[in-house]
Amino acid sequence: MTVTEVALATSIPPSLALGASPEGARRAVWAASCLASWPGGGWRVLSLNPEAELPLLPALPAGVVAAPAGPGVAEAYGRPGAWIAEALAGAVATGAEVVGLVNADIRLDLDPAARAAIAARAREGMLAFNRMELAHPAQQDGAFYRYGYDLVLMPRAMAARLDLAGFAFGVPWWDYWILLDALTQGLPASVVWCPGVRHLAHAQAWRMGAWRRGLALIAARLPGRRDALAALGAGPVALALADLLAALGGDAPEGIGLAEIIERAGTRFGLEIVRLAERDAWSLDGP
Amino acid sequence: MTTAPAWRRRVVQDMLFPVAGSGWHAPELHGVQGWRWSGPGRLSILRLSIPPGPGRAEAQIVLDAHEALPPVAIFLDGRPLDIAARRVGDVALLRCGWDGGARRAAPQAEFWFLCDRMRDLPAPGRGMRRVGFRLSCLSVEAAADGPPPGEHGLALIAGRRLLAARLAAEPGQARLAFRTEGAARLLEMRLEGARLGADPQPALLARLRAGSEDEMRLSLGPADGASRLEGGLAPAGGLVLSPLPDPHGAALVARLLAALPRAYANWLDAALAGAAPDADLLAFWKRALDRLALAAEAALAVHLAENDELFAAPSRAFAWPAG
Repeated sequence: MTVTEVALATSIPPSLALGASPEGARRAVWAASCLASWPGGGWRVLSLNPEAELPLLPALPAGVVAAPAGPGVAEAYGRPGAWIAEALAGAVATGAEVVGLVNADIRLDLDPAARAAIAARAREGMLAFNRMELAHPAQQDGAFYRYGYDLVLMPRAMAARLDLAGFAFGVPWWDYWILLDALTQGLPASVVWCPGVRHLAHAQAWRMGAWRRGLALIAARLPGRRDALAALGAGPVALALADLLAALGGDAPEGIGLAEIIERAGTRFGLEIVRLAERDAWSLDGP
Repeated sequence: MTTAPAWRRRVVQDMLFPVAGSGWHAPELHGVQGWRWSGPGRLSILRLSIPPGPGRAEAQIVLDAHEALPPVAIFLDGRPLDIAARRVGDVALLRCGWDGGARRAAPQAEFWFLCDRMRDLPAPGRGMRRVGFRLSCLSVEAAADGPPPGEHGLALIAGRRLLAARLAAEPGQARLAFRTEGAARLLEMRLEGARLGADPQPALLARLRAGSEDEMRLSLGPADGASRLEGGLAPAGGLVLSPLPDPHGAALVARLLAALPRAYANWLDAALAGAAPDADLLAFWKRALDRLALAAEAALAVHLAENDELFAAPSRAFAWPAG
């Protein structure tokens, strides 16, 4: 079996961030199992963390390394973290043929054959994985969550063409934009269901401010992608939403009703991105 | 040695977007879940282009916290498909597969969803509407192989309609008590809100006594009355009950017994949230009730094959035998 080197980037939360409650303990156990599941079969992981977090990280297994993240995430989003673009650049710098991003609470139950199949396909184009949602860690089967992409892999050369400035781990929209960015540049991108990409369900830490700021990053890029969006056959509703979001800017403009309009338009535009991406959808038997 | 996993192209019908077909209400989005209710009719149709040849599908159906799995049959191009249904959190996954022979030579595949449980719910700002189940998405993919297609789709629909119209039996809500008596296991199922035909029933009590998995005694009747049917499963697996009601009444009792696994499953869903179950005991009674239901369905099949009067409207209300 030919091993394709894969370098994933993430931002592992420090153990203390998970809290001391029973739910925190449950998530800490899950986080540790995620961490242990990532490396293997030529896959390695780089975690970017703010300097202050580095001493608080759990013990890292072989194949997972942590490095200091650049500043600015806390100032932009109100909590410390790492920039997506910087993390992906770190993965590219490893020289691996395939690079990618993984959310830190994703467990990869992938055997060597599955890893090889995924890596081989990711050499040809972007793969964005929906997660299988689990109620408890031992659950074998679950429903895939279609409105998010928690593991994204791509050929190294593609990563250099993406414009991910301003997006951060743990903030909504980066996963939608990375797909839309690729699709509107004519780069191959697929959505994948693989039962080995698993997530333990938890309450959503919903923060509307971060949601709007993430949407604003997309809105600012839409005027330059409108023609490409039309060429993809996105349809009049998607194009009208793109125009609306581009005009309003996404992030809390002054004016009666605009916040509600942006929330509605952003939600619907997100669904349009999911639909566009699912035109090229695949399943991979697993693990 | 590990085998190479297979990539399969997948076609997704997101119910939040326009659908080709009929029998669906307008899309709704609540939080991170979106769906369309089926309705107002029992049969809802989706047409979509899918890969040729054998395939498999997964329907994601949104559920409330204690909502039972909806009784949905799925047909592909008029042929019924075997369904594996399971609940995972607030979603029901209905999975089915087919071989190449299940497909018609048509540009689009036609999926039928037949729902036996319809109810009236308020429509946002527009009075009431009749609904069945909430479909979030249908995902279809090619498969290397699949089970052979079912046949006689029209007969199945006609039969289901007949059973619903002439031989409806609802077990209602079950309350369960598990006991032991020496080496025997006893299960008492108290059924509140049961119906036999059009007739609401008083609280019913089904007492089951199992000495082993092959032997079961059954006593069924009103919880507060003396009139009861007594019997059980014969060693060969057949259902024996006495005194025998008239053919229509016997058929209704068989239908009720065949529905007990559903009442048991509903009880499990409601009672076991957060509890630590005695899995062996629960599995024992699950198997026992499944066997009883199978025997009841066999008895019903005999009744249907022999008694023309079952196809007509019943001439009188269901009555338990005099005690």
